[in-house]
Amino acid sequence: MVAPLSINITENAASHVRDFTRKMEGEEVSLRVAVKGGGCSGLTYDLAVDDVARDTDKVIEQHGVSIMIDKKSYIFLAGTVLDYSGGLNGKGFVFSNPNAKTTCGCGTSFSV
Amino acid sequence: MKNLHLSELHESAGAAFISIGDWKLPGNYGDPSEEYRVIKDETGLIDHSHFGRIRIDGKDALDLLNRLSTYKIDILPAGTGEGTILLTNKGRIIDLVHIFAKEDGLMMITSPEAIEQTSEWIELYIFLEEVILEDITTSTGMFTLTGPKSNLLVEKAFNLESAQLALYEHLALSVKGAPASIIRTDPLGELGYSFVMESSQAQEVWKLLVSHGASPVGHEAYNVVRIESGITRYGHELTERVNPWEVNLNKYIHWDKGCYTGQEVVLRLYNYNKVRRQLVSIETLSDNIIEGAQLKSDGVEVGWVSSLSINPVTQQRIGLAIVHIDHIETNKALQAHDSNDIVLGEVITSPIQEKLLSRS
Repeated sequence: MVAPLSINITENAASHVRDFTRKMEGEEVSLRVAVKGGGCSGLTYDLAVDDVARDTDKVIEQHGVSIMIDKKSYIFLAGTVLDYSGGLNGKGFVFSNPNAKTTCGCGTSFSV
Repeated sequence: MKNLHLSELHESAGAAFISIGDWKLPGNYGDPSEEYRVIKDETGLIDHSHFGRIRIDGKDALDLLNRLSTYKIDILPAGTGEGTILLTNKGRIIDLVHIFAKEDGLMMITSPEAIEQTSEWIELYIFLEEVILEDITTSTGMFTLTGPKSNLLVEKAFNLESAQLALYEHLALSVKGAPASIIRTDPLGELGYSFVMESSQAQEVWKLLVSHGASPVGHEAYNVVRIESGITRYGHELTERVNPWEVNLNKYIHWDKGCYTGQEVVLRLYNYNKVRRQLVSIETLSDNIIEGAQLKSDGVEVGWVSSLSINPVTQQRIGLAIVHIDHIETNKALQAHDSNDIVLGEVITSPIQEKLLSRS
Protein backbone atom coordinates (compact mmCIF):
# COMPACT_ATOMS: atom_id res chain seq x y z
CA MET A 1 0.00 0.00 0.00
CA VAL A 2 1.31 3.45 -0.91
CA ALA A 3 1.16 5.92 1.97
CA PRO A 4 -0.70 9.14 1.10
CA LEU A 5 1.65 11.98 0.30
CA SER A 6 2.12 14.18 3.31
CA ILE A 7 4.36 17.06 4.28
CA ASN A 8 7.13 16.30 6.72
CA ILE A 9 9.30 18.50 8.87
CA THR A 10 12.63 17.15 10.10
CA GLU A 11 13.49 17.23 13.78
CA ASN A 12 16.21 19.76 13.04
CA ALA A 13 13.83 22.09 11.19
CA ALA A 14 11.20 21.72 13.94
CA SER A 15 13.75 22.68 16.56
CA HIS A 16 14.66 25.82 14.58
CA VAL A 17 10.99 26.73 14.23
CA ARG A 18 10.72 26.52 18.03
CA ASP A 19 13.89 28.60 18.44
CA PHE A 20 12.45 31.19 16.12
CA THR A 21 9.28 31.51 18.13
CA ARG A 22 11.19 31.10 21.44
CA LYS A 23 8.93 28.25 22.53
CA MET A 24 10.17 25.45 24.75
CA GLU A 25 10.15 21.74 23.97
CA GLY A 26 6.63 20.47 24.69
CA GLU A 27 4.91 23.73 23.85
CA GLU A 28 3.17 23.52 20.47
CA VAL A 29 4.13 25.92 17.72
CA SER A 30 1.97 26.54 14.67
CA LEU A 31 3.66 27.07 11.34
CA ARG A 32 1.88 28.02 8.14
CA VAL A 33 3.55 26.63 5.04
CA ALA A 34 2.27 28.07 1.77
CA VAL A 35 3.05 28.63 -1.87
CA LYS A 36 3.00 32.10 -3.45
CA GLY A 37 3.01 33.17 -7.05
CA GLY A 38 6.22 34.87 -8.23
CA GLY A 39 9.92 34.19 -8.02
CA CYS A 40 11.83 33.49 -11.22
CA SER A 41 10.22 30.11 -11.78
CA GLY A 42 6.64 31.13 -11.02
CA LEU A 43 6.13 29.78 -7.49
CA THR A 44 7.88 30.45 -4.18
CA TYR A 45 7.63 28.99 -0.68
CA ASP A 46 6.29 31.03 2.18
CA LEU A 47 6.69 30.31 5.92
CA ALA A 48 4.82 32.17 8.62
CA VAL A 49 3.83 31.71 12.25
CA ASP A 50 0.05 31.51 12.40
CA ASP A 51 -2.22 30.40 15.23
CA VAL A 52 -5.51 30.33 13.36
CA ALA A 53 -6.22 27.31 11.17
CA ARG A 54 -8.77 27.75 8.40
CA ASP A 55 -11.56 25.21 7.89
CA THR A 56 -10.00 23.99 4.66
CA ASP A 57 -6.43 23.79 5.99
CA LYS A 58 -4.59 20.51 6.13
CA VAL A 59 -3.00 20.30 9.61
CA ILE A 60 -0.04 18.03 10.32
CA GLU A 61 1.55 17.58 13.76
CA GLN A 62 5.20 16.57 13.86
CA HIS A 63 8.08 17.00 16.35
CA GLY A 64 6.03 19.43 18.45
CA VAL A 65 5.21 21.63 15.46
CA SER A 66 1.75 21.96 14.01
CA ILE A 67 1.98 22.63 10.25
CA MET A 68 -0.98 24.30 8.55
CA ILE A 69 -1.24 24.21 4.77
CA ASP A 70 -4.04 25.73 2.73
CA LYS A 71 -5.80 23.44 0.25
CA LYS A 72 -4.37 24.98 -2.92
CA SER A 73 -0.78 25.13 -1.63
CA TYR A 74 -1.07 21.50 -0.53
CA ILE A 75 -1.53 20.42 -4.15
CA PHE A 76 1.91 21.87 -4.94
CA LEU A 77 3.55 20.72 -1.70
CA ALA A 78 2.36 17.13 -1.19
CA GLY A 79 5.40 14.96 -0.45
CA THR A 80 7.63 17.88 0.55
CA VAL A 81 10.18 17.61 3.35
CA LEU A 82 11.05 20.79 5.23
CA ASP A 83 14.59 20.66 6.58
CA TYR A 84 17.05 23.16 8.01
CA SER A 85 20.52 23.80 6.65
CA GLY A 86 22.53 25.52 9.38
CA GLY A 87 26.00 26.97 9.81
CA LEU A 88 27.59 30.10 8.32
CA ASN A 89 27.06 28.82 4.79
CA GLY A 90 23.69 27.22 5.46
CA LYS A 91 20.61 28.11 3.53
CA GLY A 92 18.19 28.16 6.47
CA PHE A 93 14.89 26.36 5.89
CA VAL A 94 15.10 24.17 2.80
CA PHE A 95 12.21 22.56 0.90
CA SER A 96 12.67 19.23 -0.87
CA ASN A 97 9.61 19.20 -3.07
CA PRO A 98 9.08 16.19 -5.38
CA ASN A 99 6.56 18.23 -7.44
CA ALA A 100 9.15 20.85 -8.45
CA LYS A 101 10.17 20.23 -12.05
CA THR A 102 12.50 23.20 -12.28
CA THR A 103 13.97 25.58 -9.73
CA CYS A 104 15.63 28.95 -10.22
CA GLY A 105 19.37 29.46 -9.71
CA CYS A 106 19.09 30.42 -6.05
CA GLY A 107 16.65 27.57 -5.34
CA THR A 108 13.91 29.65 -3.72
CA SER A 109 11.52 29.50 -6.64
CA PHE A 110 10.10 26.51 -8.48
CA SER A 111 7.68 25.41 -11.17
CA VAL A 112 5.58 22.26 -11.42
CA MET B 1 -19.19 36.83 -33.43
CA LYS B 2 -19.29 39.64 -30.85
CA ASN B 3 -20.61 43.08 -31.73
CA LEU B 4 -19.43 46.36 -30.24
CA HIS B 5 -22.00 48.30 -28.19
CA LEU B 6 -21.83 51.04 -30.82
CA SER B 7 -22.06 48.75 -33.87
CA GLU B 8 -25.20 50.47 -35.17
CA LEU B 9 -23.64 53.89 -34.73
CA HIS B 10 -20.53 52.77 -36.63
CA GLU B 11 -22.73 51.29 -39.36
CA SER B 12 -24.68 54.52 -39.75
CA ALA B 13 -21.32 56.35 -40.05
CA GLY B 14 -20.50 54.16 -43.07
CA ALA B 15 -18.35 51.48 -41.43
CA ALA B 16 -17.30 48.43 -43.41
CA PHE B 17 -16.85 45.68 -40.82
CA ILE B 18 -14.04 43.14 -40.55
CA SER B 19 -13.55 40.17 -38.22
CA ILE B 20 -10.71 40.33 -35.71
CA GLY B 21 -10.65 37.35 -33.37
CA ASP B 22 -14.24 36.90 -32.10
CA TRP B 23 -15.14 40.51 -32.85
CA LYS B 24 -16.85 42.31 -35.69
CA LEU B 25 -15.07 45.66 -35.85
CA PRO B 26 -15.14 48.70 -38.16
CA GLY B 27 -12.37 48.08 -40.73
CA ASN B 28 -12.84 51.51 -42.27
CA TYR B 29 -15.44 54.24 -42.68
CA GLY B 30 -15.13 54.45 -46.47
CA ASP B 31 -11.76 56.16 -46.94
CA PRO B 32 -8.80 54.34 -45.34
CA SER B 33 -6.31 56.82 -46.89
CA GLU B 34 -8.00 59.74 -45.17
CA GLU B 35 -8.21 57.75 -41.91
CA TYR B 36 -4.48 57.04 -42.15
CA ARG B 37 -3.79 60.77 -42.71
CA VAL B 38 -6.03 61.71 -39.74
CA ILE B 39 -4.06 59.46 -37.38
CA LYS B 40 -0.79 60.95 -38.64
CA ASP B 41 -1.80 64.65 -38.78
CA GLU B 42 -5.08 65.25 -36.96
CA THR B 43 -7.05 63.32 -34.33
CA GLY B 44 -8.43 59.85 -34.99
CA LEU B 45 -11.02 58.11 -32.82
CA ILE B 46 -11.17 54.31 -32.73
CA ASP B 47 -13.49 51.97 -30.86
CA HIS B 48 -11.22 49.71 -28.77
CA SER B 49 -14.00 48.19 -26.67
CA HIS B 50 -12.78 44.71 -27.63
CA PHE B 51 -9.66 45.16 -25.45
CA GLY B 52 -10.02 43.31 -22.12
CA ARG B 53 -10.88 45.29 -19.00
CA ILE B 54 -10.53 43.50 -15.68
CA ARG B 55 -11.38 45.12 -12.37
CA ILE B 56 -9.02 43.88 -9.66
CA ASP B 57 -9.85 44.33 -5.98
CA GLY B 58 -8.28 43.16 -2.73
CA LYS B 59 -5.47 44.37 -0.51
CA ASP B 60 -2.90 41.99 -2.05
CA ALA B 61 -3.65 42.80 -5.71
CA LEU B 62 -0.66 45.06 -6.46
CA ASP B 63 1.76 42.85 -4.55
CA LEU B 64 0.64 39.80 -6.56
CA LEU B 65 0.75 41.58 -9.93
CA ASN B 66 4.20 42.93 -9.05
CA ARG B 67 5.45 39.38 -8.35
CA LEU B 68 4.01 38.06 -11.61
CA SER B 69 5.12 40.77 -14.07
CA THR B 70 8.16 42.62 -15.37
CA TYR B 71 7.67 46.24 -14.30
CA LYS B 72 7.78 47.61 -10.74
CA ILE B 73 4.17 48.15 -9.76
CA ASP B 74 4.15 47.36 -6.02
CA ILE B 75 3.45 51.02 -5.29
CA LEU B 76 1.05 52.62 -7.76
CA PRO B 77 -0.63 55.79 -6.44
CA ALA B 78 -4.25 56.39 -7.46
CA GLY B 79 -4.33 58.26 -10.77
CA THR B 80 -1.25 56.51 -12.19
CA GLY B 81 -0.62 53.34 -14.15
CA GLU B 82 2.09 51.22 -15.76
CA GLY B 83 2.59 48.80 -18.61
CA THR B 84 3.99 45.43 -17.50
CA ILE B 85 4.47 42.01 -19.10
CA LEU B 86 3.23 38.66 -17.81
CA LEU B 87 5.78 35.98 -18.67
CA THR B 88 6.05 32.23 -18.40
CA ASN B 89 8.85 30.93 -16.18
CA LYS B 90 10.83 30.51 -19.41
CA GLY B 91 10.59 34.25 -20.11
CA ARG B 92 8.03 33.90 -22.91
CA ILE B 93 5.21 36.41 -23.33
CA ILE B 94 1.72 35.68 -21.93
CA ASP B 95 0.47 39.25 -22.49
CA LEU B 96 1.48 42.89 -22.23
CA VAL B 97 -1.03 44.45 -19.82
CA HIS B 98 -1.58 47.93 -18.40
CA ILE B 99 -2.53 48.39 -14.75
CA PHE B 100 -4.25 51.56 -13.56
CA ALA B 101 -4.75 52.46 -9.89
CA LYS B 102 -7.97 54.18 -8.96
CA GLU B 103 -9.17 55.29 -5.50
CA ASP B 104 -11.43 52.23 -5.31
CA GLY B 105 -9.25 49.52 -6.87
CA LEU B 106 -7.29 48.58 -9.96
CA MET B 107 -8.20 48.20 -13.60
CA MET B 108 -6.15 46.03 -15.92
CA ILE B 109 -6.33 46.39 -19.70
CA THR B 110 -5.41 43.19 -21.54
CA SER B 111 -4.98 42.44 -25.22
CA PRO B 112 -8.28 41.75 -27.02
CA GLU B 113 -7.89 38.01 -27.51
CA ALA B 114 -6.13 37.44 -24.19
CA ILE B 115 -8.83 38.31 -21.64
CA GLU B 116 -9.58 34.78 -20.43
CA GLN B 117 -6.04 33.47 -20.70
CA THR B 118 -4.59 36.42 -18.78
CA SER B 119 -7.26 36.27 -16.04
CA GLU B 120 -6.76 32.52 -15.64
CA TRP B 121 -2.99 32.98 -15.50
CA ILE B 122 -3.31 35.45 -12.61
CA GLU B 123 -5.95 33.39 -10.81
CA LEU B 124 -3.68 30.34 -10.94
CA TYR B 125 -1.26 32.21 -8.67
CA ILE B 126 -3.78 33.38 -6.06
CA PHE B 127 -3.23 31.25 -2.95
CA LEU B 128 -3.86 32.96 0.39
CA GLU B 129 -3.94 36.44 -1.10
CA GLU B 130 -6.99 38.65 -1.09
CA VAL B 131 -7.37 39.34 -4.80
CA ILE B 132 -10.62 39.34 -6.79
CA LEU B 133 -10.78 39.65 -10.57
CA GLU B 134 -13.93 40.75 -12.36
CA ASP B 135 -14.19 40.90 -16.15
CA ILE B 136 -15.90 44.21 -16.95
CA THR B 137 -15.19 44.13 -20.69
CA THR B 138 -18.81 43.79 -21.79
CA SER B 139 -20.24 46.19 -19.22
CA THR B 140 -17.88 49.00 -20.23
CA GLY B 141 -16.63 50.63 -23.42
CA MET B 142 -13.18 51.85 -24.43
CA PHE B 143 -12.15 54.32 -27.14
CA THR B 144 -8.75 55.60 -28.20
CA LEU B 145 -8.06 59.10 -29.43
CA THR B 146 -4.74 59.36 -31.22
CA GLY B 147 -2.85 61.98 -33.19
CA PRO B 148 -0.66 65.03 -32.64
CA LYS B 149 -3.60 67.35 -31.91
CA SER B 150 -5.52 65.04 -29.60
CA ASN B 151 -4.62 67.04 -26.47
CA LEU B 152 -6.28 70.18 -27.89
CA LEU B 153 -9.42 68.23 -28.67
CA VAL B 154 -9.52 66.71 -25.17
CA GLU B 155 -9.15 70.14 -23.56
CA LYS B 156 -12.01 71.52 -25.65
CA ALA B 157 -14.34 68.54 -25.28
CA PHE B 158 -14.01 68.21 -21.52
CA ASN B 159 -13.33 71.82 -20.60
CA LEU B 160 -9.93 70.95 -19.17
CA GLU B 161 -7.30 73.61 -18.61
CA SER B 162 -4.63 71.18 -19.72
CA ALA B 163 -4.60 67.63 -21.07
CA GLN B 164 -0.84 67.36 -20.43
CA LEU B 165 -1.09 64.14 -18.48
CA ALA B 166 2.02 62.03 -17.87
CA LEU B 167 2.08 58.67 -19.63
CA TYR B 168 -0.54 56.37 -18.00
CA GLU B 169 -1.83 59.18 -15.77
CA HIS B 170 -5.63 59.20 -15.66
CA LEU B 171 -8.44 61.48 -14.59
CA ALA B 172 -12.11 61.00 -13.74
CA LEU B 173 -14.36 62.95 -16.08
CA SER B 174 -18.06 63.61 -16.10
CA VAL B 175 -20.01 63.30 -19.34
CA LYS B 176 -23.59 64.49 -18.89
CA GLY B 177 -23.32 63.65 -15.20
CA ALA B 178 -21.98 60.10 -15.72
CA PRO B 179 -18.39 59.11 -14.92
CA ALA B 180 -15.76 58.28 -17.54
CA SER B 181 -11.97 57.95 -17.27
CA ILE B 182 -9.38 59.50 -19.54
CA ILE B 183 -5.96 57.85 -19.59
CA ARG B 184 -2.85 59.05 -21.45
CA THR B 185 -1.80 55.88 -23.26
CA ASP B 186 0.14 56.90 -26.43
CA PRO B 187 -0.82 53.54 -28.01
CA LEU B 188 0.96 54.24 -31.28
CA GLY B 189 4.05 55.74 -29.66
CA GLU B 190 2.74 59.28 -30.32
CA LEU B 191 0.29 61.38 -28.29
CA GLY B 192 -2.92 59.48 -27.53
CA TYR B 193 -5.59 58.95 -24.90
CA SER B 194 -7.95 56.14 -23.99
CA PHE B 195 -11.42 56.59 -22.54
CA VAL B 196 -13.19 54.00 -20.40
CA MET B 197 -16.84 54.33 -19.41
CA GLU B 198 -19.94 52.29 -18.58
CA SER B 199 -21.30 50.83 -21.82
CA SER B 200 -24.54 52.78 -21.32
CA GLN B 201 -22.45 55.94 -21.51
CA ALA B 202 -20.35 54.96 -24.54
CA GLN B 203 -22.51 56.65 -27.14
CA GLU B 204 -22.44 59.99 -25.27
CA VAL B 205 -18.63 59.95 -25.02
CA TRP B 206 -18.19 58.95 -28.69
CA LYS B 207 -20.58 61.67 -29.89
CA LEU B 208 -18.95 64.29 -27.66
CA LEU B 209 -15.51 63.54 -29.11
CA VAL B 210 -16.81 63.52 -32.71
CA SER B 211 -18.69 66.79 -32.15
CA HIS B 212 -15.37 68.39 -31.16
CA GLY B 213 -13.61 67.26 -34.33
CA ALA B 214 -12.42 63.68 -33.72
CA SER B 215 -12.64 61.62 -36.91
CA PRO B 216 -13.66 57.96 -36.61
CA VAL B 217 -10.92 55.69 -37.94
CA GLY B 218 -11.17 51.99 -38.66
CA HIS B 219 -8.94 49.16 -37.54
CA GLU B 220 -7.29 48.87 -40.98
CA ALA B 221 -5.69 52.34 -40.95
CA TYR B 222 -4.87 51.99 -37.24
CA ASN B 223 -3.13 48.67 -37.90
CA VAL B 224 -1.02 50.20 -40.68
CA VAL B 225 0.22 52.98 -38.37
CA ARG B 226 0.83 50.39 -35.64
CA ILE B 227 3.01 48.35 -37.97
CA GLU B 228 4.90 51.41 -39.22
CA SER B 229 5.49 52.42 -35.58
CA GLY B 230 6.83 48.96 -34.67
CA ILE B 231 4.15 48.46 -31.99
CA THR B 232 3.44 44.87 -30.96
CA ARG B 233 0.04 43.20 -31.18
CA TYR B 234 -1.26 40.13 -29.38
CA GLY B 235 -1.13 36.94 -31.44
CA HIS B 236 1.29 38.60 -33.88
CA GLU B 237 4.34 39.82 -31.95
CA LEU B 238 3.03 39.13 -28.43
CA THR B 239 3.21 35.33 -28.35
CA GLU B 240 4.82 32.56 -26.33
CA ARG B 241 7.25 32.14 -29.22
CA VAL B 242 9.26 35.17 -28.14
CA ASN B 243 10.78 36.91 -25.13
CA PRO B 244 10.36 40.66 -24.47
CA TRP B 245 13.81 41.65 -25.79
CA GLU B 246 13.06 40.18 -29.20
CA VAL B 247 10.02 42.40 -29.79
CA ASN B 248 11.35 45.71 -28.44
CA LEU B 249 9.55 45.61 -25.10
CA ASN B 250 12.69 46.66 -23.19
CA LYS B 251 10.92 49.66 -21.66
CA TYR B 252 8.51 47.38 -19.78
CA ILE B 253 11.33 45.57 -17.95
CA HIS B 254 12.42 46.96 -14.58
CA TRP B 255 16.06 46.31 -13.75
CA ASP B 256 16.14 46.15 -9.97
CA LYS B 257 12.62 45.42 -8.77
CA GLY B 258 13.52 41.94 -7.48
CA CYS B 259 12.10 38.56 -8.49
CA TYR B 260 9.21 38.11 -10.88
CA THR B 261 8.15 35.13 -12.94
CA GLY B 262 10.55 34.72 -15.85
CA GLN B 263 13.13 37.17 -14.44
CA GLU B 264 16.07 34.77 -14.29
CA VAL B 265 15.75 33.84 -17.97
CA VAL B 266 15.04 37.40 -19.10
CA LEU B 267 18.05 38.91 -17.34
CA ARG B 268 20.35 36.05 -18.31
CA LEU B 269 19.43 36.54 -21.98
CA TYR B 270 20.41 40.17 -21.71
CA ASN B 271 23.50 39.83 -19.49
CA TYR B 272 25.02 37.01 -21.53
CA ASN B 273 24.14 38.71 -24.81
CA LYS B 274 21.91 35.79 -25.83
CA VAL B 275 19.09 37.71 -27.50
CA ARG B 276 19.34 36.21 -30.97
CA ARG B 277 16.26 37.66 -32.71
CA GLN B 278 14.83 41.12 -33.18
CA LEU B 279 11.71 42.77 -34.53
CA VAL B 280 12.29 44.38 -37.94
CA SER B 281 10.10 46.24 -40.40
CA ILE B 282 9.52 44.70 -43.81
CA GLU B 283 8.34 45.72 -47.25
CA THR B 284 7.36 43.41 -50.03
CA LEU B 285 6.16 43.55 -53.61
CA SER B 286 4.59 40.10 -53.51
CA ASP B 287 0.92 39.69 -52.60
CA ASN B 288 1.49 35.96 -51.92
CA ILE B 289 3.22 36.55 -48.63
CA ILE B 290 1.18 35.70 -45.54
CA GLU B 291 1.52 36.33 -41.82
CA GLY B 292 3.43 33.43 -40.28
CA ALA B 293 5.52 32.84 -43.43
CA GLN B 294 9.03 31.58 -42.67
CA LEU B 295 11.90 33.80 -43.74
CA LYS B 296 15.02 32.19 -45.18
CA SER B 297 18.45 33.38 -46.20
CA ASP B 298 20.43 31.05 -48.50
CA GLY B 299 17.99 28.27 -47.60
CA VAL B 300 18.45 28.67 -43.84
CA GLU B 301 15.44 29.68 -41.73
CA VAL B 302 16.18 33.01 -40.02
CA GLY B 303 12.76 34.25 -38.83
CA TRP B 304 9.10 34.73 -39.66
CA VAL B 305 6.59 37.38 -40.75
CA SER B 306 4.49 38.49 -37.75
CA SER B 307 2.26 41.27 -39.18
CA LEU B 308 1.29 42.38 -42.69
CA SER B 309 -0.82 45.17 -44.16
CA ILE B 310 -1.01 47.61 -47.07
CA ASN B 311 -0.43 51.33 -46.60
CA PRO B 312 -3.63 52.83 -48.06
CA VAL B 313 -1.84 55.96 -49.32
CA THR B 314 1.24 54.44 -51.00
CA GLN B 315 -0.28 50.97 -51.59
CA GLN B 316 3.05 49.63 -50.31
CA ARG B 317 2.87 46.19 -48.64
CA ILE B 318 4.41 46.62 -45.21
CA GLY B 319 4.83 44.47 -42.16
CA LEU B 320 6.84 43.33 -39.18
CA ALA B 321 9.02 40.25 -38.85
CA ILE B 322 11.11 38.60 -36.15
CA VAL B 323 14.54 37.85 -37.58
CA HIS B 324 17.86 36.42 -36.36
CA ILE B 325 20.22 39.29 -35.50
CA ASP B 326 22.89 38.07 -37.96
CA HIS B 327 20.46 38.90 -40.77
CA ILE B 328 19.40 42.38 -39.70
CA GLU B 329 20.65 45.19 -41.89
CA THR B 330 19.04 47.96 -43.89
CA ASN B 331 17.37 46.69 -47.08
CA LYS B 332 18.33 43.07 -46.52
CA ALA B 333 16.39 40.73 -48.85
CA LEU B 334 14.99 37.47 -47.41
CA GLN B 335 12.90 34.74 -49.04
CA ALA B 336 9.43 34.03 -47.61
CA HIS B 337 8.28 30.38 -47.59
CA ASP B 338 5.01 28.75 -46.53
CA SER B 339 4.82 25.75 -44.19
CA ASN B 340 5.30 23.40 -47.19
CA ASP B 341 8.49 25.29 -48.05
CA ILE B 342 6.97 26.78 -51.21
CA VAL B 343 8.58 30.14 -52.05
CA LEU B 344 6.05 32.96 -51.63
CA GLY B 345 8.26 35.89 -52.62
CA GLU B 346 10.90 38.26 -51.35
CA VAL B 347 10.73 40.68 -48.42
CA ILE B 348 13.07 43.58 -47.73
CA THR B 349 13.86 43.95 -44.04
CA SER B 350 15.18 46.96 -42.11
CA PRO B 351 15.93 47.62 -38.44
CA ILE B 352 13.35 49.51 -36.37
CA GLN B 353 14.32 52.96 -35.16
CA GLU B 354 16.07 53.13 -31.81
CA LYS B 355 13.56 55.58 -30.26
CA LEU B 356 11.01 52.81 -29.80
CA LEU B 357 13.25 51.13 -27.25
CA SER B 358 13.19 53.93 -24.69
CA ARG B 359 10.56 54.54 -22.04
CA SER B 360 8.87 57.82 -22.92
